[in-house]
Amino acid sequence: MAMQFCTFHVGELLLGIEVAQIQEVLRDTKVTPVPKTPAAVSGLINLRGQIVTAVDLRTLFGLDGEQNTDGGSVMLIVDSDAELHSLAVDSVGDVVEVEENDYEDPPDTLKGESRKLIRGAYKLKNGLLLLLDGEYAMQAATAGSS
Amino acid sequence: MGGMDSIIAEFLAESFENLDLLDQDLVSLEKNPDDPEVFGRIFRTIHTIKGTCGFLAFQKLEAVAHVGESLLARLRDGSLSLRPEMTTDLLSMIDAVRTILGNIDRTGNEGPDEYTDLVARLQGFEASADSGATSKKQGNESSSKKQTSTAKKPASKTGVKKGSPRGSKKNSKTTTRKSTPAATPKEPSDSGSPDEVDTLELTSVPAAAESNIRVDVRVLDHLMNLVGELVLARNQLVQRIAEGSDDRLSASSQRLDSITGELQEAVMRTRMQPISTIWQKLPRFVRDLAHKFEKEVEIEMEGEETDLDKSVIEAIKGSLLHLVRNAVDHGIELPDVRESQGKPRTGTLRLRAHHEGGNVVIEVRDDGRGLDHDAILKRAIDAGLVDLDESEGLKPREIESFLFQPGFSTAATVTNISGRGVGLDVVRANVESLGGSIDLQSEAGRSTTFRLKIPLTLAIVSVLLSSAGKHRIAIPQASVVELVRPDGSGTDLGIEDLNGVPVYRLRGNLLPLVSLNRELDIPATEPANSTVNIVVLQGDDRRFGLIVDSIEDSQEIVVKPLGHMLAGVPFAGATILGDGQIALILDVFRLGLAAGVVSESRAHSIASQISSAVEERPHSERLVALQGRGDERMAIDFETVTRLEHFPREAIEWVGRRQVVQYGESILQLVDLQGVLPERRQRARESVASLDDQTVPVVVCTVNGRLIGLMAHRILDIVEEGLKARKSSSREGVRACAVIQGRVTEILDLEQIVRLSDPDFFDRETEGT
Repeated sequence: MAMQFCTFHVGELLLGIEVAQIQEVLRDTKVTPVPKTPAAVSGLINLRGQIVTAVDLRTLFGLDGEQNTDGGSVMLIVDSDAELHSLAVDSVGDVVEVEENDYEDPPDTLKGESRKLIRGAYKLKNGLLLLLDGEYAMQAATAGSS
Repeated sequence: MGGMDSIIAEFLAESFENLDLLDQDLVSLEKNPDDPEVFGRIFRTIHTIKGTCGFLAFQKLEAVAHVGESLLARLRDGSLSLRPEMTTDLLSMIDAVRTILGNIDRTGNEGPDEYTDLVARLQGFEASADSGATSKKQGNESSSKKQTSTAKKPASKTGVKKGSPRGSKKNSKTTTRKSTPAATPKEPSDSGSPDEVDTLELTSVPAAAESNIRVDVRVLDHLMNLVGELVLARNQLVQRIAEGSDDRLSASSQRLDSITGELQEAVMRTRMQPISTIWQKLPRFVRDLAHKFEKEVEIEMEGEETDLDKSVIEAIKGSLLHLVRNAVDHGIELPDVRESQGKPRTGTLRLRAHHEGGNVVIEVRDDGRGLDHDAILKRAIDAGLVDLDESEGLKPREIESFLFQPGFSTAATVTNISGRGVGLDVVRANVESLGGSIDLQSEAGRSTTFRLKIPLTLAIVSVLLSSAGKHRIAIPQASVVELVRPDGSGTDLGIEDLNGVPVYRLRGNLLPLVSLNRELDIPATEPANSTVNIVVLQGDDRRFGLIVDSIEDSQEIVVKPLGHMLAGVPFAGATILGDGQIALILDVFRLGLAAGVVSESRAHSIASQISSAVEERPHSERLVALQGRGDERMAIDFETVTRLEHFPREAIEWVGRRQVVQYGESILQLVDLQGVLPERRQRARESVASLDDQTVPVVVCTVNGRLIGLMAHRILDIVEEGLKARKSSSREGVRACAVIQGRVTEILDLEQIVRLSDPDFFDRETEGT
């Protein structure tokens, strides 16, 4: 059965999350930083009156280069366990449809934390779509030392 | 399938609500067995449950409800009269129904219990009625049976829900009859007694059910959020429009403005519930308690309609029950005792609620024996909360405050004296965590009144907006004591350094200061020599000053929770300000804890809790706590302390037997505490190896106008010590022992210490100065 994924870029990586999990995509959202939080928690955003915690995927994947959290980042609002989270990514791509047959376990070349953040990969014509483990990403962001 | 589920869900919700009413009704019925209105209501409720569960095939529930219903029918037609044990069993029947409903709610089935005992007991009552009644009035018997069935029908579900208020008895009678022709045996029904008609009429309901609808709280919360956003959008819009010059547009914007305001208020109100939601459970609760303790208690309620936020109601429920239980258990005396004191046998428990400003005041008053101050004091002394000497001068209010102490409540003996201390500390903590307060008034032998003051809603808090770096921080007003902005600049600010901890001298008292920037790891934005904003905060039992970059404004804000990802931060929540920005709400207690100005465990600070409970703190004194090399604790009167210093170890020189250090332009004589106190010398020698610290902390004290330095291993803290366990000590150099921050601490006698170390010190007084 074909599944639909919302794709996005973090650094060089092409990542995907099931479309059903994404509530919306925000651009130009102001992130309010929160002191004393782990580095991967970039702060809070105001989503129509609801306060949502934002996780910086760049930091989680250990990528260099400061993500511009003051305005420019793209936010994916993810609905997990009745609580909304926000993932800060570099850019959002298309929604792609993938076949079950194209699925493979994460490539062994991925190491360390990145390996755990990725549940698997789908072979696309023009590259690999890595399936992000959203729940693990939240956990990892919280667990990170401040 | 789904349709069935929703029917069951509705049935459960409705039944639970009805059961609460039923408790209340049964208790009032016991007092007033002839009230046909109440009877009608009870009967109807049970019947509705029975009928619906028959339809939904819940057989146990139906069986239990059925026996209850039959007994009620007998009671109503007068072939049985209500006795207390019957009420008890009827109440148990209601409990059983509630349990089964609970099981259905959780698991979808009725649960394993068969309730055969209960059914048998209830049937027993009925049987006794049969044997008694048959001989007496046979005719009545048959009419009563018939009546049972008559009554059933109009009380069926539709009858209850749609029943419109009837204009007259006559009218009602016909309506009732109309709905029941099939079930009613024709013959004597029209010749039924007038009483019967009354009863029947009462099966009709006021149309209250129609004017209420059940709404999921989450829907309301969502609505609240949206309205909040609407208000923000309105603010922006109104501001823009005000800048322009279109008159008609600004007229519309004003309208929008006022409508939005009203809408916000109306939505807020949807979350409000009358306090009767919890109070209606109380008559049953009190009745059960009174039976248990063999007391006679009447409950009076005033102000049931007082509205409170639903979350507040949930939060205070436990505390309120606790106070009521206390009043029945400890407050109200046994009937015979009351009589002998010239009081009515039945005690009265009065609950009152009303609005007062932005708060709700709830009073729980009993006309029992009041508080026995002597017994409380005795217990406080036994528990080590206060010392015998100190107990002499205590005011009644101070004595009463012991009841709220954790140490007071745990002992089982409390029930034996007049004390009401069982868990009152928990009640107080609960009320205070809601931003409320509790106090009590007592008149010996006459009454005890607990007065709770609780904010109307938890969702809206009044805060002080301040900033730290670029962060906007909201400090709950409830914790703010005052704002201080010292005049002057640089060192004249009045901020002193006490062993690396900045302190501020506020009206003669030293206030430990905490820098918000430093606690939040924010780089300081401006040099410290400009003016400083100090927010004096009350965190738990301690006061401290918080240095913030700026203080902006006081605002009412809507609290929004932080996601569980941010569990470890010193913030209690966040809020969205008028301009759409997010501000973080400071958790004062957590911040104080992190900064080390609030003691870690409440239990450790029993002493200071007392001193905060006693308003004037007449017996408290400030001490500087020191740690010796063997981790033993010492303390010295703060009054005598001039400064706390750290000297490099190499700066300490020996002059004869004495250690000295150059201090400003003079020479400061030093006393090694370790070497002075007799039994510590030994240990001091053993731990000489550990003297590798680069600096030596020294407490510079003034004795008889001269300076002397006390060398300690570490300087710990400045503590405020209240009335508490304290023993005088016979040891040389030690004035007394006390428990400070959970540790036994020796309070040093400075003069003696100096004498011990240098017997000639005071003789050389003149030459030194």
